[in-house]
Formats: sequence, structure tokens, C-alpha cells
Amino acid sequence: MQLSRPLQVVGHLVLLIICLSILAPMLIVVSTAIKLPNEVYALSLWPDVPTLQNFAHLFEQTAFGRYTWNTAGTTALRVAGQLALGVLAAYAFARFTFRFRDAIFALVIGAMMIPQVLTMLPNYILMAQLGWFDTWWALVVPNLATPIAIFLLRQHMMSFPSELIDAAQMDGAGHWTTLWRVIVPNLGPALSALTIIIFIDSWNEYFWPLLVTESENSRTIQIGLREFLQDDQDDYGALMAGIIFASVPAIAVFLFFQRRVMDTFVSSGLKG
Amino acid sequence: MATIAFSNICKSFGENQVVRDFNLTIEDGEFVVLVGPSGCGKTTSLRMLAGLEAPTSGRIALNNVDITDVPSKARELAMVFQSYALYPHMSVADNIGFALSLQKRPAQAIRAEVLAAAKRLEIDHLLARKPRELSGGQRQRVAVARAIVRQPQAFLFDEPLSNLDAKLRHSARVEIRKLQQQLGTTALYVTHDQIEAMTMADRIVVMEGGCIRQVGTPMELYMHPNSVFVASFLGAPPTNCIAGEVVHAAGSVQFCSDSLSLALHPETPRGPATLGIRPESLVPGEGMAAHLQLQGAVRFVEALGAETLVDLSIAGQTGAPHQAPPTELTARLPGHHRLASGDILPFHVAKQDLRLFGSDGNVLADAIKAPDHAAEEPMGDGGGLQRAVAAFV
Amino acid sequence: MLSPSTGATPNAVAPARRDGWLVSRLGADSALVPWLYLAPTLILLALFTYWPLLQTAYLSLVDWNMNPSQPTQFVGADNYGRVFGSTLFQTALLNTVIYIGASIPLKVLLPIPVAVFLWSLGTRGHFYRAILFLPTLISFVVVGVAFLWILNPIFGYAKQFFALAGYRLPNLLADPDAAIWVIIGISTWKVLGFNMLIYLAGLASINREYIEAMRMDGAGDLTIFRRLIWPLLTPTLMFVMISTIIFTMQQVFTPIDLMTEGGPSNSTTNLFYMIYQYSFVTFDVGGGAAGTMMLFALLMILALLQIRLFDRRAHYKQ
Repeated sequence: MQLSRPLQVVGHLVLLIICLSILAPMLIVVSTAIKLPNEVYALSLWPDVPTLQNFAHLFEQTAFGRYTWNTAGTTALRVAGQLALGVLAAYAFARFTFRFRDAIFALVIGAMMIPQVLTMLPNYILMAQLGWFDTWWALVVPNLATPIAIFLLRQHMMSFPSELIDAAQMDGAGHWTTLWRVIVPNLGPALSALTIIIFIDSWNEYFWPLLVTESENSRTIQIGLREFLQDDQDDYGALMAGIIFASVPAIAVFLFFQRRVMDTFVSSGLKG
Repeated sequence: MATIAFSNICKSFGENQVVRDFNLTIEDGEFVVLVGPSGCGKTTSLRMLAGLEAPTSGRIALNNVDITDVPSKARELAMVFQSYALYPHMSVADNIGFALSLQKRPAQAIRAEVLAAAKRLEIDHLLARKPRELSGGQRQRVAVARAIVRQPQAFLFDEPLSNLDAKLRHSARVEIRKLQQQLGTTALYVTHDQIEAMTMADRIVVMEGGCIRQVGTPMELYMHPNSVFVASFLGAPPTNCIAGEVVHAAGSVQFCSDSLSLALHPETPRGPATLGIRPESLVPGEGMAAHLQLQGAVRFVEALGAETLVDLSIAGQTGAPHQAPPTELTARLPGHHRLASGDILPFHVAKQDLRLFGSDGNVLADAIKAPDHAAEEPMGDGGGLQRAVAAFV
Repeated sequence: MLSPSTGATPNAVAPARRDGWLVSRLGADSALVPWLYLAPTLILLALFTYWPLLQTAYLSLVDWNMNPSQPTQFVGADNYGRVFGSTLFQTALLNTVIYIGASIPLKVLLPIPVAVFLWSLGTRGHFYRAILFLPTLISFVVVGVAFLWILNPIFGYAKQFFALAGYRLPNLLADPDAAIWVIIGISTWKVLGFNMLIYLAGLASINREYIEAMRMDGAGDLTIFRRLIWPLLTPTLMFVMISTIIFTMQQVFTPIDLMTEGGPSNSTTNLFYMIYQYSFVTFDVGGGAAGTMMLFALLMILALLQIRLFDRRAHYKQ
């Protein structure tokens, strides 16, 4: 479609302003992060003496190393667990007929509609009762069932060529073997898309860890940033270094798989 | 090796009955082809043997052992699928060896068996490739190799050649048949292609609408079809079918159509009937008096080199109460004939090449009067031009 | 080879050796098999989603301060009346309406013309798209912290920037009238690009030949937008509207908690944050649960609305 000339100019102008307003805060953050303490409050975007000292500070003064470990560890467990359980449940919905199947599927998908806030009180109490408070268990286990993953994987499994499944059966494979050795290896695109979604979701999670973490045992980066903000209001250089550090993994994934990440988010947004 | 027996197999999907009372025994080492138009239940029958579908009723036995309730992975049958169903994420070698690896055979033994099977099909240079890097013909070979490597009780083929082009199809037919004969493994082969059925089968099973129409060797079915359906399904171009009626009049019994009439055995029941004439039974020239004589106008000539197909129209019977449309027939003549559209020439058909089918589509055996043996001589050139209306003694 | 003896008992023939012992015990085609595959998910959803929902309903009827040694006292619908009558609830409800009301022009309507323009650029717009997508990836914590620094009342960039222009920027986050707009602005910053990409996905399904045909008929840009793009984009618009409303209700929790903690004088609290305050700041479990149930009712209405709109959308596509 070809827009008329003046509209094109206006369009580019508006887009540029929007993009600039997206990038400006990021630039300010980066610039602050590489400034020495004596320069932090200066308006200039490029410091006289660029430094990585703030990053060093971050890890020396706070338990950020430990927070990173907690975040990375629980995220890895969540990605693996959520995908595995999603694959199992999706297989049941895609390849079996059983009583109440559709009703149960509706319940599973319906869980997407229930935000965590609605269940936080009993879950918080349950964590305390289980002794999971301030442990990785609390961060991982309650998040393992993933309706969106079940939904997407079921779609893919239902469109999987049935002759391949027949062939596996003829070759002597049961359900378990067929699922893991024939179907799953061919779900690459769906699984990698879900990995990206779950990874970013888990890495950036705020609400639940805010409730159930309280020490270095389980505190994640996001909660660490909050703590840092409240304890140490003045060290903006290190704080900015912290938020850059917290954002790098997601942005790195995006830079590597640009199109796929965008398509994944948009399509899951459309379905979710 | 194995014998297979289907007894009283029925299969319904909801209201839809796709296989009805299917009975078939396959001898050890036999190559049986199930053939029929799409939706006739042939693939469903094969899948029930494979254990991929459960019959609604009836039993299936393998080597006289009832396997109706045995899961497919325990039946020791190997199947070649229409799409070949090669696992896209595995190399050719892994595809062929998958079943063996599930049996927890030692890796060394699997490698050796895979290599042997691959050599047999001349695909040993492709073992490291992925299926998507193969041509259609190569994929088909991999699928066959995957079936033979397991040394199964029987091979099941589900239209394995339908995705190949015509040239490859011919050589693949020969190869599959040779391989099966060398191995001596029982095979059940499903196809909608009557040429595959004719060329490959020890026995053909013709199916239609979920029922078996006829079982027999290719030549039996070709020469003695028991119904219009079988007669028109086997052979290309198909049998010419001329619709008409058996009439009893003035002491004689005749088959009458718009374009011809033919004396029949006196005990032939009256009613609508169909006369079947194979294209190659239509011979140019005036035959003996005992032959069915026709006058054909050439409408179209297809010279195929070794043979020529001629579309004829047989004029409506003179004296008919109304001007009937001409009957269209196809004749298959050997070699190259110097015929052109518009030519009019006589044809004749030996009586033993005529088949008459009743109103239910089934053959009316003995309806055609046995030819006089004295009259049965090599076709001569004698005889004057006859009318399209042929009278018979 | 199958031997007659094994054939007689089909279950014995089935070598389910690779199916895990449980499945093989049950027989490969047992009706229980799908339930085994579903069990982990169903147990987790029951334990952490559906049962807590019921429990919340129960908790909304009791008086308790979350101290295990303290007995819970059944008070019936008292909590509902108390929460409903509190100024905190009324402010939070009003703020929620403001958050949603402001979101519609900013997050739902503003992206449409921009997305249409971006769509007209075709593949040349990829650079813009990548930038627009960036805020989606960054956590709300990061966004909140960054803006806290930028809006720092003494040294912040915003302050200094406005000072250069000769304007004295007040401390926005301390101003009860302005603070909520800061949160709205930040959440717009976060979600604008994402909504734009959703519109782009909706636009991608419009056949460009229609536009050329209209152009041939002499239609201008505005006519094409009004007569073709807008009607075809309506289903996407409805979707973006609903998802943005839900996003706005839930996700602004993070900037509220981080930047204002609901203040100043509850001017930025929304219903979600109010529930959090009841539950985990004042440990009024009954109040929190009652608030939760009221919010649940509101969300159910939204969900039903969404389902109805989606039905319409499906019809529209046919």
C-alpha cells in the first residue's frame, strides 16, 4: 500500500518519536551504569571516564551473584518442568478419547483466566504449611502447570502426521516411546517458542517471588532489585548496572532469534 | 512365515459401515492384493490386520493364532505406508533400525542388519542422510528396507507406489515383487491401481462398498469376472458395457440393446442386462457367422505405438421405434492401424469373449450360447458386409 | 514368531517393556493411560489454582490475621460489607476505572494508525518493529527502577532536562494528582509496541489487493482506512481492548508496588494492589479474600465478555 506523501512524513515522524521515547530511558540507564559515582548525577549521556566499576560493585555489595543463581536455576527447572508436563498433558488431550476430556480441557484452559492474585492467599498459606517458604520449591512447583503450553502443543500434536504414529506403533513403540522418540523430536519450533515464553516469563516474574522469598536462599534478581532500591537508594550507578544485568538474557535471546521471538509473543498473545 | 485369516470381519465408524463380513485366508508366502475404488474398505481391512484399527466384530488370526486383541507392536508385522512415514528427525539408518533398537538389540547387530537391508535395496550410500534429502524413489526404498529389516511375519503395503511417477512405479512394482519372492514372506498389498493388482498379485481381492466382490488369480478375474464391477474395474481401457434387456419372444431368447441383439441360452431370465466386451475382443473384419458382428464408425484414434485404441460408435438399430443414440465402444488393436475418424468398418467378437451380466450386476453364466465348434476357425476374411444389426443363429 | 500359548492371552503378548512399569501393569490400552499423562498437570492445577479459589471464598467469610496460633472466626458476609464500605476500596475502584479509562485511548487506539503506517511500509518497517518490541522483553521491575531514577526529584534526568528548558519539574510521584498518570505513562511505554505488533498481525491477514482495487476506484487514504481497514481490524481491536484491560488491572501492580506503594494517600492503588495491602500489609486475611472475590466477579464478567467477542470474531472471519 502506498500512502500519500504528507501522510508518510507524519507517519515516520510519529514512529521516530515513539522509538526515541522507547530508547531514551534505555540510553539513560546504560549511561548511568557506566559512570563513576562522581559523575552519576551529571546530565551528559557519555561519561568522561566510562567504567564497569558499577557492575563489580553490584556483585560485591549485594548478593546479586546468589540472586542470579536462584533466578537461573529456578528458570531452568521451570522451563524443563513446564515443557515436560505440557507435553504429557497435550499428548493426552490430542491422542486419546476419554470421559470428560472436553470438560477437563476447558478447566485447564480456563486456568489461564485466573490471575495469581486471586489465589495468592491460600497458596501463600500452603507454602508455609509445606515448609517451602523461601525455597526454590515455592518458586518452581506452583508454576509447573502451563495451560498455554498445553494448548499450543495440543494443536501441534493434532496436526502431526498420523502415519508416523502408526509407523511407530508398527515398529513396536508404545505411547511413551512414540511420544518422546517420534513426536517430541518433531515439535522443535513449538517447543523453542514455548521455551522463550516460559524463560522470559520466569526470569521477569515479580509478584509470586515477592510473596514467597525473603532471603538469599531463594530471592531472585527482580526481588533483589527491589531490595536494592529500598536499602540503597543512592547508589544509582550500581542499581542501573543491576537492571541492565537483569535485562540482558531476554534481550540476548531476542537478538539471536528476533523474528521467532516476536512471532511467538504475538501469536501467544493472540491465543492467550 | 505366516498364514493370515480374516473371519467375518466387520468395521463401522459410528453409523458408517466400512467393512462388511470380510472373509479371506492368505497362504504362507502368498502375495495378495486388495484392490478397489477409494472408500471401498481395503485400507481399513489392512489397518485391522496391522492392529491400527480394532474390528467391530470378527476375528483375525495369524498362523492360526487369534491376534484380534493383540496390540500391533506385538504382531510382528511390517508396513510400508503411502507417505512412507519416515521419521523426519532420524537418519536413514536410524529409520531402518528404529524397530530393532526398540527391541533392545545390541548396536553392533543393528548396524549390521541395517546395512544388509540397505544393500539389498541399493541405498547403503544414503544411510547418513535425512529423509528430506532423498528423492521420492529413495524414500520408498527406505520404507521397504525398514519393513524387511525386521524379518516380519508378513509385509503390509498401503498404496506404497501412489506417490511415485509412472516410470519409477513400473520398476518399483517389479522390485517389490522380486524381493517378496526372494524372502518368501507373506504380503498383503492395498492399491486402487488395477495395473499394480494385475502385475503383482498371486491373488487379487476386489472390494467395493466394504464387501469383497471377487477373489482369484489375476487371469481368472480378468477372463471370468463375476460382475460388471469387476469386469469394468480390471483392465485398461475398461470393459465396454452395453446396457440392454433380455427379452423372451417367439420362442427365442435375446439380448437387445439400442445397437445390437444377441441370441441367448433359452433359460436366461428376462429383465435388464449388461453385455460386456473387452476392448481387445473387438477384432476388425467380418468374422465367422457365429461371431457377434458389428459395424463401427471410427470416432477417434489413439496410436500408442505397440497398440492402438479406437473409439467406435455403433449406430442405433435400424427399425427401432425411436432413433436411439449410438453406442460408444473402445477397441484395442495391435500395432499401428491406418484408421482415421469417420472410417466405417466391420468388427466381430468371438462368443466366448462376451459376458452377460444380470440386473444385479452379477454374471449370467452360460447365458451366451456356446459357439458351434465347427464354426470356430481362425478369423477369415470371408463374409459380406453385414449390418450393424447382427442376427445370430 | 507368535506362539499359540502367548496369543491366547493378549496382555501377556503385549511387551510393554518401554512404557514404564505403571503403564505396562495397567495394560497398554487401559482407559487409565490418558489420566496418567494428565495427572501431574491436573494435580498442580487443582492444588494451586482451583482449590485456592474455593479456599479464598471460604477465607472471605472469616476473620483471621494469618497467625497460625490465632483461631479463625466465622463472620459471614461482614468482610464484604467492611471492604465495600472502606474508602480504600472506593479509591481503588475509582483508580481502576481511571487506569482502564486512560488505557483505551493510549494503549488501544493510539497504536492503530501507527500500526497501519508500519504495515504500509512492508518489510522496510522491520527496524521499527524490533525497537517497538523491546519493552515487552524487559521486566516491569526494570522499567519501574529506570523511571524512578529518571524521575528522581533531585538529580533525575527529567528534572535536569526540564531545568535546561527553564521549567521546574515538580516531584510527580509525590503529587496525588500526578502519580497515577506517571504509572499510566509507564505502563503505556511498556505495552504500546506489543499492541502495535498485534494490530500488525491483524493487518497482515488483510489482502492488499482490496486496497489496490479501492485505489483504482479512486479512494483516498482516509476512505480506505474508514471503509476497509477499520472494519476488518475491528475483531483485533476488540481483542486488544480486552487483553489491555486485563493487563492494566494486573500488571500495573509492579510499578505501583515499586514506585508509590499505592500512595501518595492511596492515589495510585488499584484493586489488585488493595488486595495485596489487605492481605500482606495489614494481614487482614478476611478483607483480602473478600476483595479477591469481588475482583474475581469482575474478571469473570470480563472473561464472559471476551468469550462473546471471540465468538463474534470467529463469525466475522468466516
